Amino acid sequence: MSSFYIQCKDVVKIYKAGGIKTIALRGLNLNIKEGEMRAIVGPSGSGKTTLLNIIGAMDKPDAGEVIVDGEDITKYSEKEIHEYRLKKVGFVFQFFNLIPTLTAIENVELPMILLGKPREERRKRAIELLKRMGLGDKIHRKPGQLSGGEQQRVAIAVALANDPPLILADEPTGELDTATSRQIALLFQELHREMNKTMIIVTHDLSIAMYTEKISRMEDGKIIMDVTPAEMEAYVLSPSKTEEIVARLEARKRDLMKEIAKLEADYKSGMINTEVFVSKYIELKGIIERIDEELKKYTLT
Amino acid sequence: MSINLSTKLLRGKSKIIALSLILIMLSTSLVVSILLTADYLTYASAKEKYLSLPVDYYATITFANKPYQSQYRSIQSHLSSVKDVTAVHYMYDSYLYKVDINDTTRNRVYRIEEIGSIILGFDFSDSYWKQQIILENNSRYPTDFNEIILDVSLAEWMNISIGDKLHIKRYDASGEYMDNVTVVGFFKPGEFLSYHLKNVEEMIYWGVFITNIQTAMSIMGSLYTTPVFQFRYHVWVNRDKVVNAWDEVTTMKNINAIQVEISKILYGTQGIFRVDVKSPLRETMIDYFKSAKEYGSQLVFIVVLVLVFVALATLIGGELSVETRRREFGLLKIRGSKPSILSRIISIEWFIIGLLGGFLGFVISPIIGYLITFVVSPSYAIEYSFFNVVIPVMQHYFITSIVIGLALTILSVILPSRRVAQIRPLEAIREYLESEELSVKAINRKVNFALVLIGAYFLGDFILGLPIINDILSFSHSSGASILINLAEILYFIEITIMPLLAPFIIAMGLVNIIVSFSDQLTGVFRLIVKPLTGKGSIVAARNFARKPLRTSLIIFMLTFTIIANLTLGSGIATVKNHIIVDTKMKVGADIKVEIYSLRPFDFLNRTIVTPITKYSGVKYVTRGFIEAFSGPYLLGKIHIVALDPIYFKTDYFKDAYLAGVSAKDAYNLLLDNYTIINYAAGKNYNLSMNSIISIRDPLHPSVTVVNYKIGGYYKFLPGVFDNMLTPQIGSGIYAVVNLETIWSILEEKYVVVVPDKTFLFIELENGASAEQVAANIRSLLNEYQIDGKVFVLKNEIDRMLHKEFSGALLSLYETGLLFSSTLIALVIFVSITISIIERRRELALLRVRGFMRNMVSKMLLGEAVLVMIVSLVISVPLSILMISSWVSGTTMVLPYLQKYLQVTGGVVYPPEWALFVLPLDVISYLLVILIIFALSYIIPYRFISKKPLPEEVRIYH
Repeated sequence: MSSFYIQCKDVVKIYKAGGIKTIALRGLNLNIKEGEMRAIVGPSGSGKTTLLNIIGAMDKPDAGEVIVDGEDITKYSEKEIHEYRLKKVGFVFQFFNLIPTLTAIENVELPMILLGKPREERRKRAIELLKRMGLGDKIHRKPGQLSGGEQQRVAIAVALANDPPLILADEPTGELDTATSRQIALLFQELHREMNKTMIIVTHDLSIAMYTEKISRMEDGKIIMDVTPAEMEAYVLSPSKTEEIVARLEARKRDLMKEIAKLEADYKSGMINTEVFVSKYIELKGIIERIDEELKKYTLT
Repeated sequence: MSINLSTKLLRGKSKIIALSLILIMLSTSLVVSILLTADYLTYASAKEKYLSLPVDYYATITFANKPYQSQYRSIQSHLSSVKDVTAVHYMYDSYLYKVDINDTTRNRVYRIEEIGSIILGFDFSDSYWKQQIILENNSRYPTDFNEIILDVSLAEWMNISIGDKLHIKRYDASGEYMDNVTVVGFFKPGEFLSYHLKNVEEMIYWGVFITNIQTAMSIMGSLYTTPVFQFRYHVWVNRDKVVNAWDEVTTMKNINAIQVEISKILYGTQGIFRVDVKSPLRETMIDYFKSAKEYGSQLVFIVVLVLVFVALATLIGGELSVETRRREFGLLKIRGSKPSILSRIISIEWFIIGLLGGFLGFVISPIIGYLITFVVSPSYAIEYSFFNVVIPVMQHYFITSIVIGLALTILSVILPSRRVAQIRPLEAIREYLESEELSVKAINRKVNFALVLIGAYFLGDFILGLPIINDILSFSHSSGASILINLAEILYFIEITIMPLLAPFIIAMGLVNIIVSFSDQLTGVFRLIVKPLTGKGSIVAARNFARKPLRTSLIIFMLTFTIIANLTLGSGIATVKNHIIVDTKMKVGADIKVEIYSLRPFDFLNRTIVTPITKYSGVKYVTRGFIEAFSGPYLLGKIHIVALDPIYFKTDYFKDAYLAGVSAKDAYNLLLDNYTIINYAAGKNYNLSMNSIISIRDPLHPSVTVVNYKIGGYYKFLPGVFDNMLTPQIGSGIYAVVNLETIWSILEEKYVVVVPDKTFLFIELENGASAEQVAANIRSLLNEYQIDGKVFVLKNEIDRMLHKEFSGALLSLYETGLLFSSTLIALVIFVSITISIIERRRELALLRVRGFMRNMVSKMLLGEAVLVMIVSLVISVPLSILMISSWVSGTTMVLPYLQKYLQVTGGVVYPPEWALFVLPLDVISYLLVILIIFALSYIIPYRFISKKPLPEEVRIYH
């Protein structure tokens, strides 16, 4: 029996869209110990979220094994997947984590309802969790009445509702300002210490990754390095490496800018319709924003 | 700038454009096609009416002295020269009173003074008359002097043969006159002659003598005391030219002008003693335009109903168009567009769609109208080419179409343009926050409470018989203030005209909004309702009820509206249909009824025709019957004998419930035992108890008792016996049912001469037997025995009555209007819910991430649908019942034909099948289909999107 809680062996994932194949994961290998808090960082499109989805059984790999707590989850039936999601995993997403029509407490209660926990028990736990998240006075508010940071705290409480051993967070601070992001990162760290959960946090924000125990950097569907936050700091501070990263990021940004210019020209000339224009524009702008944020970290140091 | 932007934005929105355009186009074309169909049916019914007329005008002129041939021919030629007159024919027409016909060949004398007879003289050189007089075998037209032909039934009765010599002997105050004539043939009256005898002469004659004008004038000319030289001119006009089905003024102007010209000619002719001009065409057209106006108002109601349906549909369409494009508008705002520009963009987009939709709707409306006529039109309508009729009048609806298209789009644009202005750009782009304006707080409860109260007042006052408004009216009149009086009158008018229809919808709208606004507080109740279906997902389903309050309200209201409209109108229509069917069943009384008008009505009693009929395949029972008025005891006046074969009580058409105090089986045995069963009302009126004796006396010799009957029971209804099913109740006389076989033998035995008021046969068929076939056999049998009779097939009679009562295809138009507009609503509901579900795809995926299985999500969505349906049903069903009861008890001017039938029956007893109102099963099954579509519209789109990979759905932006 392996000592790792999560083991990914030669995981391959290929997406096919519009006849184009995209290799998201190229024989990825990853081992995470029980109770470990791991960050996965890397540029957009490196396969971070795909990896997280596969570990969360939201997606199936095309090849390879994903063993969680000694079981290969890729071989799970629909029912087993449902059980797995309900009992073993708690998800936190970048945004839209909550059911908009339910109040905070109802959102937290929902996974417990599905597990069949008695009303009193689930209510008590939901209140406890929300209090722990610092939201004791806002338990009856709906997501629309909460700030982004508060919503994310509720989402974390939802993820913890059924006390799952594994927490998966996909860009949990992606939509938050720097101060709130730090608070959320700190909250994850505290929860990890208190509850000893295995946590995987996917982020493009190195400063958030620094709160974890270990950082895996992904590029082109593979993990290219596993480092501790301290090692990462040293690596980032190395001038030659920094220059290389900055040059790569800037080149990518230039390409994206060109793509936007072309998109606008196409739209003005009527070659593409509004719907295509808007969705593509937002997508490209989003990537540029994230590159800018990453660049900021290197240039500041 | 806005226009440029609008067209640019529209370019990329093919699905939304298509959807909106289809919606507006269908809505416009639906309204216009109903109008066109109505035009077509109007045209067809007008044409049917005037084509069925045997004559357009007829003028009766009486010469003071024997006219010269040139005189009546000159009148004919003058009449022919009147504008639009196509043909004029004349005939000589006089009554014969106190006539004995002496058959010199057999030396027999017939006196027909009791019945009356008529002598007609024709100009047989006019071929028209030859078509109207159908000659029997070996007969010829009486073209020579003193030649005559006789009505075939008269000839049979008198046993006269061709070649017989007759003396026509007439009496008057001055003495006796005799003419010798030779019978050269027998005839049957053609269409016109039958009409003439029944309608123009307004009497039915036994003896019709037809001869040439010279002979007729010679016979009548010997009677100097009475100026009887009567000529009738029958004037035909070019009807298609004179009558314009859509233009009452022109039509009546043309018709009156012709009539004036005819009168001028007739009054201007010398030697004329009296003139009487009548215009069946004018009378028919006046009736037609009167009914057309009545149906016109109902048509307006149908169109308004359809418009409300489509307006609701477009409201949803407009709301969706903004909802689905929030992100796009958010982006435009980020890029600097002012809210006013965005509102303008929306308005321009919808203006373009409205214009185009209106135009396309106009273009396709004849096609839809054509399809509608196939569904709704009675058989006569399809005789005329739909397109030939409607294309020339289509131009009138062009502006209407454009106005409808634009009006609908304006309606669609009001809410969206406000909403666009309120969009918060960041939220719109990210779409993960619930917008503030969509919260239930946006619903103004006070306004909605007010709506409910207003609606409740109108409906309540109407149901209670208008006590409040009457008080208001009296108060205003007593105050003497004209402004108060006027206001009260206006309120009264509104209350009795439109409010019986509108009030339930006003209440529904208010209730829907109030319920939606309290959705948070009602979550617990909602959870309990949906829990059996959704299980653990009940909280999500319950909370989602008012996820988008405005849309939820609209959808519930649409569903509520559809249910109320279908249930109430459907129930109204089903009730009227039921009444007509029951009424017709009670009048016909069997699968086939044969009425005998022959001079020998008792032939069937001797089984000459009954025996062959019993042998026809499929015939189960044949019951004979006749009604005859006899004299009764002094206080009771006339007693009507209803002679029936006892088997009458054993047929499927007779029910125990039609009797009082006895069963149908008892009635059968009582008749065999020579008891009588009398009408219940007479029993009450004359205090005639069981076993009392009623004596039947000879009508010609009232002192002579023919027979005594003991009363064995009472009946309330006798299907088929009376023209009106209520006759035995409201009539004051006694209608005593007796055994036909016995009474007939008694009458024969005692030489009592009777001429029955009515004689008939009821034929009940085996299941599956062809009534048409049996009816055809009976007709040929009657023909063979030369018995004048009419055969009524129940099924055909019901169809005919439904057609007659619902004035052509109006009923079908109602039904089709409802069907089409409900289908449109179902379509819009399906599309809007589909879009709602697609909008929620990320949230639904998130539920699965949280541990919901696919089926659980489906059940949860079904729970949401059921919740909406239950709320709709809870609101609509009681309101529908209230609305129907308001129609039943009140006097609405909106639906005159409903009013006619849905009245409180005022103590009159109706057959049990004559329900006060009928639950429309077909409408209910149709509503069920709508509800199933509604439920499926939640599930089907989800089943599609749930097949997509979960990660994709969770991360999806839109």
